[in-house]
Formats: sequence, C-alpha cells, structure tokens
Amino acid sequence: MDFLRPTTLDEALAVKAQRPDAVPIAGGTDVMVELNFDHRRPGALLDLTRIGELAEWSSSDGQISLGAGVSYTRLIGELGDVLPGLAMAARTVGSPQIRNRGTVGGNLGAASPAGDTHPVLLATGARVELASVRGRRTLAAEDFYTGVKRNALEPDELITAVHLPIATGGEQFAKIGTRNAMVIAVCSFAIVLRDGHAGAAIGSAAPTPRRVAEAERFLLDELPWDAPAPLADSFKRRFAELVAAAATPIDDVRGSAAYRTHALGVLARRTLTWAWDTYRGSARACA
Amino acid sequence: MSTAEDLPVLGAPVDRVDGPLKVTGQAPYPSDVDLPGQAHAALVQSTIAAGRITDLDTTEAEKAPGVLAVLTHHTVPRLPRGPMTSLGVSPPAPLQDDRIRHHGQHVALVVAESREQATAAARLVRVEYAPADPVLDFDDPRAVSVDDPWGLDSHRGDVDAGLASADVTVDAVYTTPDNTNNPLGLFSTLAAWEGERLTVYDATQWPAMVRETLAEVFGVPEVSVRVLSPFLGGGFGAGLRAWPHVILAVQAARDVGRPVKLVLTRPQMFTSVGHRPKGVQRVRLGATADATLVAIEHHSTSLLAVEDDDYEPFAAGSAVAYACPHVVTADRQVRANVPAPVSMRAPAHAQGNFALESAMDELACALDVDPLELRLRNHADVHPALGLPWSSNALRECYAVGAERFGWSRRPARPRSRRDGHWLVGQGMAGVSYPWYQAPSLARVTVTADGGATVASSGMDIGTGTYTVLTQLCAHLLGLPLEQVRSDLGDSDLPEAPQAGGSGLTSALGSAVADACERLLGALLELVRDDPESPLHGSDPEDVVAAGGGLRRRGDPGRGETYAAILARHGRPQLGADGASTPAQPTELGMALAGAFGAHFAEVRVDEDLGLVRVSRVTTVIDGGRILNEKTARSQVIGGVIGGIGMAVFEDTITDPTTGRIANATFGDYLVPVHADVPDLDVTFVGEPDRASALGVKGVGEVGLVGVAAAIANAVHHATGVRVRSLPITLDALL
Amino acid sequence: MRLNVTVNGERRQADDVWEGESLLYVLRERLGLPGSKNACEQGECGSCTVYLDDVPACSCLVAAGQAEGREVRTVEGLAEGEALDPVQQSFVDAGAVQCGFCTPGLVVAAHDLLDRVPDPSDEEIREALAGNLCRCTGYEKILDAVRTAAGAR
Repeated sequence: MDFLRPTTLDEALAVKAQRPDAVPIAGGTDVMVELNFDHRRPGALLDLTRIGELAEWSSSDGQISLGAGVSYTRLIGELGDVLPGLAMAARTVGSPQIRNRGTVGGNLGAASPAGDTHPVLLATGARVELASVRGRRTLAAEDFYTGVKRNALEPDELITAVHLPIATGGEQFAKIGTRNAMVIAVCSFAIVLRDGHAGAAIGSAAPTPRRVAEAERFLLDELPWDAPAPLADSFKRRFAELVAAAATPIDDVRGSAAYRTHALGVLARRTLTWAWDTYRGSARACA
Repeated sequence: MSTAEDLPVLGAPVDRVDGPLKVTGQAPYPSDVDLPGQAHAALVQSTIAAGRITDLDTTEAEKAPGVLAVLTHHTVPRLPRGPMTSLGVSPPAPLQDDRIRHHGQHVALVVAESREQATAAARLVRVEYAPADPVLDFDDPRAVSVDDPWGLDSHRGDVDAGLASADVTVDAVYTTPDNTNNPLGLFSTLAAWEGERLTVYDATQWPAMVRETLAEVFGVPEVSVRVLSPFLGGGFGAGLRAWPHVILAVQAARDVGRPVKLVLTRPQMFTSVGHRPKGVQRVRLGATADATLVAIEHHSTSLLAVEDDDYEPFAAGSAVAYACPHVVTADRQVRANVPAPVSMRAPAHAQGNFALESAMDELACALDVDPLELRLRNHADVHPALGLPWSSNALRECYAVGAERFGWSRRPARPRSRRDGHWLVGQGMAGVSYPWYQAPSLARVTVTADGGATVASSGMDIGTGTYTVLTQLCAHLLGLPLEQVRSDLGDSDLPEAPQAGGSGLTSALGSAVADACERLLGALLELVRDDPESPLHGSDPEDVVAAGGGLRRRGDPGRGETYAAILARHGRPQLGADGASTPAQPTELGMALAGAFGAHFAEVRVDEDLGLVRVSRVTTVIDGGRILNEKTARSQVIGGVIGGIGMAVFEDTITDPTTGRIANATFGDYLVPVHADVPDLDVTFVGEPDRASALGVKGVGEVGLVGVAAAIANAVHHATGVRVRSLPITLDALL
Repeated sequence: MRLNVTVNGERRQADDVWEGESLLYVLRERLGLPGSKNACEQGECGSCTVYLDDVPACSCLVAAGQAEGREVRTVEGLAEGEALDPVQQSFVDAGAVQCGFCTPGLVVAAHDLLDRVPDPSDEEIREALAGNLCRCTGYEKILDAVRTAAGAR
C-alpha cells in the first residue's frame, strides 16, 4: 500500500489521475473503519488533510462555497448562522471527536443512505463540485447519489466543495435515533423553505438519500407564502402523507420499514411547523 | 484486636487505590503487555453455522509475508477438553475436527511477525464447507432440549389448586433477546513457553481456573503454569471461562517457540467469549381479591450451544421472591447452532426478574392495587422454601426508602395520566431478591520490614474495587494507614481465590483476608508476648490491639511497638499468614442465607408519536449487607442500573435467522447506553451486616442491574397503557 | 514507511509503519504508549481519544501517515511530572474510575471540554462525552468528576 500526501489540489488531482485506485481519506471516519476491520486494502491512500484549499470556505452572492475538507466542528462554529440546516445535521453526527475530523466531503464520498448531511444538501438545492485533471464540474446533489453507497464520482475525480445558498427562511433537520447521541439515523428528514423554494428530503429511507418531489410541489403550491399564517393540522398531515409515500425503506437492525415510514411522517409534520414558523418570522422581519 | 465487627456498616468512601495508575494510562491491561520476540496471531472464523469443513487450504497464507504458522484442525494435536470447574464444564477444545457448530467458530489461527501480517494472511486461508441447515431457534423441531439442567426446578404446594382458588390471574409470555457482555477491553491472550513452564497474560476474571485448565489441556503440572491478569478492561461474565482462543494462543506459542499474542477484534468478541442467551418465559400468577399471592408458576426456555453448557436458571428466583403457598418453577434449555452463551452480569436473574416483576405489575393492574402495595403484602418475611429466617433482609426498607426518595405516593394510579408536550410520562417499580453465592477462598497477608503490609491473592479486580476494599480491610485490621498496605491481585501464583463473579468475591476473599490478618496478629502476639525486650512482654492477648502501625496496649497506646520494630528485633524480613474462608452452611446456622435485596423506581418519557423511550430518572435502594467502601459500591450499583437501562431499551444481539450470522457485531450497531442516555440516578444503601458471615458483606456487583428492565417496562406501561413483554423496548414496540 | 511525529512534546520516529495502520496502533505498538486503548476500531467508543494538533480525535480513525509532522498528546502526557492534571485527579476523587479501560479516552475528552467550556452544564457534559463508552457505566460519577474538575481549574 502507498500513502500519498499531496499538499495542493493540483498535485492531488494529478496523483488521482495516475492512481485511480488511491482511496481519498480526510477525517478517516469511514475509510479507517474499513481498513481496521480489514474489509478492504486499497492500493493507496490519498491523504487530503494537507490540502489547504479543501479546508476553506467562502461566501459570495448569497452562496457559501464549503470546502470538502472543512470539519463538522468548524462548520457548526463558523457557519451555523448562515447554514442552520446543515449545522443541525452536523451536530447530530457521532461525537465531538468524530465531528472534529469528519467532513461533508467525506459524507458525500461515502454516500451512505444514512449519512446525516445528505437530506439537507438535497433540500436546500446544494451543488457538489468535483474536480479532476480534466477540469471541474458541478452536479446538483440529487444527481450525485446514484445508488446504495454509490455516487457520480469518476475514478480520477475528487470532491472539492459543496455550494449552498445562505439560509433566508426556515431550515430544519431531524433524525430518529434509539439513543440520545452517537446515533446512526434510523431515518432522517430535512426541510428548507425560502422565497420561491420548498425543499424536502429523506435519509435512511430509500437506497439513496432522496428529495420528496410531490411533497415539495405541494408546499410550493399550497403554502400561504404571501400571507404566512399558522398551518392547519390537515395541511401538515397531507404533507406528512406525501413524505411517507415517497419512502421505500427496508427492515434492518436499526428499525423496521414500517416504523421508518411512520416516523418520517411525524418528522415531516414537526419540522414543517418549525421551519414555517422561522420562515414567517423572517418574512415579518423583512416586511 | 480490631475485628471486622468494628467496621462501619457503610464503609469509608476511600478513593480507588489503583485510580492514579488508571487515569494516567499506566495500568497494564492484558492487551497492553508485550514480550520480547512475540509473534501475533489472527483468527479465521467459520462463515456457516452448521456443517463440515470439506477443504481447508493454507498454502497461500503460509507463503504470505511474515507468516510463521497456520493452525488448523489438521495441525493441532488432539487436546482434552478442560476440566469441570465450579461453574460447570469447560468449552470444547478448539480445532479438533472438521465440524462446524456455530457461525464465527474458530477454524484456523494464523501466526505472523506482525498483527497486520497475521490479519492479511488470515484472509488468504481458503475454507470450503458442506453446510447443513442450522438449528437457530427454540421452535425448530430438530432442536434438542434439556429439561431441568441444574436440578433447580421447584414445586411447593399445588399450583393448579392455587390458581383455581385465585380471584385474579395473570398469564403472560415474556421474551428477552441475546445480549453481549462486551467489556470495553478486547480480550487478549499473550502466551509464552519456557520449556514446560508456561506464562499467560490473559483477560480473565478467574486466573486460578485458567491455570488449572491450561495445565490439564497441555498436560503440564499446575505449578508450571502462571496466569496473570492484574487489570481487566471489564468482564461482566465474559472472563469466567478459558475460551477456545486462549487454548489456541497457548498452542500457537508452543508451535512457533515464541511468545504469541492474540487480541480479539470487537466483532470476534460477539462470537468468542459468550453472551446472555435469549429466552422465552411464561408466568402465571394468581391472587385473591385482597392482593394475596396464592400461585406462582414460572417456566423458561433459553438457548444453548450444541456442545456446551451454561448456567441460566431464569425461573429459579421466582421460588423465593415472595411468600406464596403454591409455586412451580421450571427451566429448560434448547440446543442450537449458536455461539456459547455465558453468564452476563446477573445471569438468569436479569431475565427471570424481568418476567416475574412485569407479571407482578400486570397483577397489580388487574387487582387495581398499587404495585408497591402488592409487593409489600406478599413480602417473604422468612425464606419461602426453607421457612427459615433470613440471615439479613432489608427489602421492606428498600421499598420504603425508595418510595420516599422517588415520590412514589404522588404517582397517579391510572396509566396515561401525565403528559408533557408530545411526551407521555410514567413511573414503574420492581423489587429484587438476589441469591446468595459464595465460594471458598484463600489469601495471604504479610507484614514487611518497612512496617507495611501486603495482601496477596489470585483474585481479580475487574473494576469492582477489590484492590481498594482489601487494602482498606487489611489497613483497618492491622491498624495501618492505607498508604502502607498494598494488594497484589490477579496472579495465579498467589493464594487461590474464586472468580470475580456471582457477586461473591468481596465476601469470600475479604473473609479470607480477615482470617489471615487474625492469624498474622496471633503470630506477632506470640513473638512479643514471650519477648522480654518487648513493651508488650507478657501481655494478655485481650489487652492488645492493632493500631498505629503495630501492636499497642488497649487504653495505653504509648505502650506498644510497630511491626517494623518487632520484625527488626527478631531478625525477620517479613512475617506472613495464610487465611481461608469457606461458605456458610444454612442448616448449621438455622438461617436462610440471604443475598442482596433491592428496589428500583423508574420514570420514563415516551414520545407518543415516535415511540422513543427516554429514561428520565431512577431511584435505587440496595441492601448489600455491610458495604466496605461506599464509593466503589455505589459505582457498582450505578453501573448495574445503567446496564439495566441498556437491557431495557437498547441491547439486542441480532442473529440472521437463516445464516446464523450475528448482524450487528460492532459497537456501531450493538447499542449500549452512552453518557447522553443516562439520567440522574439516586442510589441509597440500607440494611445491616449479614449475620451469616464474619464480614457481613453480601456483594453488590449484580443486584443493581436486576429489576431495572422490569421497572422501566412497567413505567412504559404506566406512561402509555401499552404492556411491552419483549425486550428491548424498541421504537416500533409502542406504535 | 517511516513516521515522524511529536508525541507528548517529544519528537519520535517509527519505522516499518504499514500504510494502512492507525495512529492508535503506532502509539500502542510502536511507540510504547499503551495508555490510549483499542476497543472498537471504528470511532464508536472514544477509548483511543488523543489530541492531534490540539484537537481531540479518535486515534483509531487517523491514518498513521496523517500524523506525519504533527503533534499528538495522549493521556500519558497530561500529568505534569508526578502531579496529576486536575481532570485526572477529579476522576480519582469522584470515583469515576472502575475497570479503567475507558478512562484514558474520557480524561482526554473531558480535558478538552473544560478547555473549551470552563463551566459546562450537565447537558453539555453528557453531550461532550457521548462518544466515550463506559461499559462499567460509571457515567454518573464521570459527570461528578467533570463538575469537580471544572471547579478546580
């Protein structure tokens, strides 16, 4: 096995082009588990932690460009006010030790259906930036997840950043766990409401994290955007039904398919209430 | 002389003497020990649950870098099974034939220069199987069952007549899953042969048993085997047997002629060192309208490995829990292609109490009487089977103090009476009568030229505080400051102690230490009494006390001398005495030997829409007899309670019903409580020293866990109106 | 490969490090520092928690090569000579130590918590230590220890 330690992105891309078998490693929270359990022995490890560009974020035109190597702890501390939904998801990742090392880039690379940040990235309309020696491209998050633990990354590509809009309305993330902490999601849900946008997505409830298109359309069409008033229970129930209907979960050691479907409906109802309240507050503040 | 009777009922909360070593990372756990020239081993485990190995090809593995040997059933000599121990048979010897009896059975061991090389080569061992259809559950018609495995089934009165005379009956089935002990420390064995002398650093709760086993299996005298385990990263029962991997590490060390170290992985901990077996229990209770129990019938079936035994009499405790004229308890085990179970913290009682105390709650509901009142009305004032008075019993006080501290009287009688937003709030309780257990023990106490003393025993401190309480006890009995007493434990060369298990070690080993101290003081007294140069010359033993680091005239502490002075004048570098303790016999004492008693009161919050259960507080009151150290004992009980919370709402070892593979054999998937799950716990000790032993200690390592699951399940019922009879109480159970 | 790393203030070198090896393995098996414990190998238990460039991490999830040129502080490096760090002392005083296997990781995690939050609430303590499993489950006493240490600092 080789241990490759590029210090610039260009160098890393050159290495990845030459060694497509090199497995990128940043926080190590997925890759090292596989190595420790001897589930795989790649030809090389490509350490991304020395590449300064990946560990930076910037803001322009109402967008945040979040380097793939920014840790959850930094994301929560430095961007919690502008990316509240993503920060909520980040706070539920593992433990402080894990959040100190884990990154959104790593979450995307692993593309686990249970990954915590995915529903938020989907709901807010994030774009994933990929780079290789051939150039850069960005993909909508929903086009990035291609299957169970599979993504659209080409063998010579690295995930370099995620671009997301700064929150202007309500954002919520919720997940179900048996414990109070150190929880892999039984199921999770994110909702983002801002002017002209209603995003909602589910996690751990289908082969990939996915948007719930019908439920989003319902919100976009039916929410009283112009005269934001509290929502009727029947409205929330309808939304919850549409979310639950979009789930295709499985039974596994963490929970049953039936439970996941049910719980998603509950999360949808509760988070819609909270996100709409925030949206209404922000709408009033602007008025 | 100072005696154990002078000790306070609630012993001083002395800081753990091994604390500084542990907080600085200096305490050597078995996996921390290395020997010069050691090789590393890695296991290959079966990927089927039943059948035969048809081909085992080690060619590639043997050619891999650094590989020294590959042990298989072709290479390992025929080894005898280990001896019968006081806890039952030894596990079958490993790699003896081509048969597969469970998923995860060891089929080969690779030894290499480094752990990485051993692990890499283990992947190169090619095993082909002829799989058979495994027996994996109770209801498989092919399963062999064993009735009344320990001769503990009991009958009293006429249970059918009792049930017929009852005004109210409960008849319910309760299930408990496999749980895995999962001590945090990965089990590890480092074995080194020098000729016929064998030294083993092993993760065990019972060094003396491992020594005996290895001597017998490898055909060497016991005196040539030394087993060391001065520190253990927890055991919870997993360290009560000499498991097959221990035998394999020792065999490997013999084969390669070098020390060999084998550290299990976390997934291997699920299949290699036991687990609490799953079970099904049926409980029938009958009571008259005034809430008097007239019948208890408790049947259990639990799962067992195909060629191994395990002590799990789930139902036995129900025969002595309450005053009741008509009682039947019966236990049965069913053999299946599963890894061997083992005692896990409060074996049998953890499960049996869940069924009985849940059924008592159901009975209270059916009678419309307070659950605490039901227990008080049927309290066993004398031992229900023997009719003898208890050697100690403060269960009533446990109930009273617990109810007061918890605020039980403010609990609304009806379920679903309290709500906080979408959380339903409920309260439940359970009682515990833990059985007495005791084994013989030896110990040696030595005073040394520096005036201090050493306690020596093969017994273990598995985190319970043995080092500390023995040091305290010896210091008290010899009149020494704590700093001048050292305890040496976990070394099979030292006087033999029983296992750290069954909540019995503190009493057994403590009594042996007390005996050794008494004999030592007697020997010292003889020295000074006949010595004209001693200020205590000619003293009557009654007038001498151990104090101030030596012997002193009672009431005249100025007249006396230190142990250092006595030894120096007599030209002795040290003076030691051996002590022993033997279990009390109830018939001789005219008393029923009591274990610990306890009561738990739990409050839960249940998210009505999501079925999430959160334990919000627990009040626990324990009668553990005399408590030698309030601090270490309290930690044990708190740990037991949290273990009980895990059993109630998290822990579940899930076996794939077709392949027999454990589906969640990691800490990511097998959930145990984390810090954020643990609410405020209130632990109180009550009671008096037990009359059946010199120390009056009853042992509190397990009692704290028993009853917690029932108290929580009963609280969940009170919160929601839903009765959960199957553990753990999962998310879907309440929807 | 060769690894250069500063551990507890001392520059150390390890040879023949396998590229897939964890920092934890290097510390325990190559540098003679077994204080950090291995219990889950997947970041679930926190027993291997060390400071990596002053940030607590599960050393089982750090590839050895990622620590090249960096600074590591383990439980062995917290005490000043014979004097225990206040966090270590409070663990002893409060009875927060049982079998002790989780203790090194917990001590480092608690040490970091008090550096960041000098006077944490109970909820903050429970959350901050949620990644450190204790199977003797002395969580209540660990909570006491952190409260005491916060006062002592």
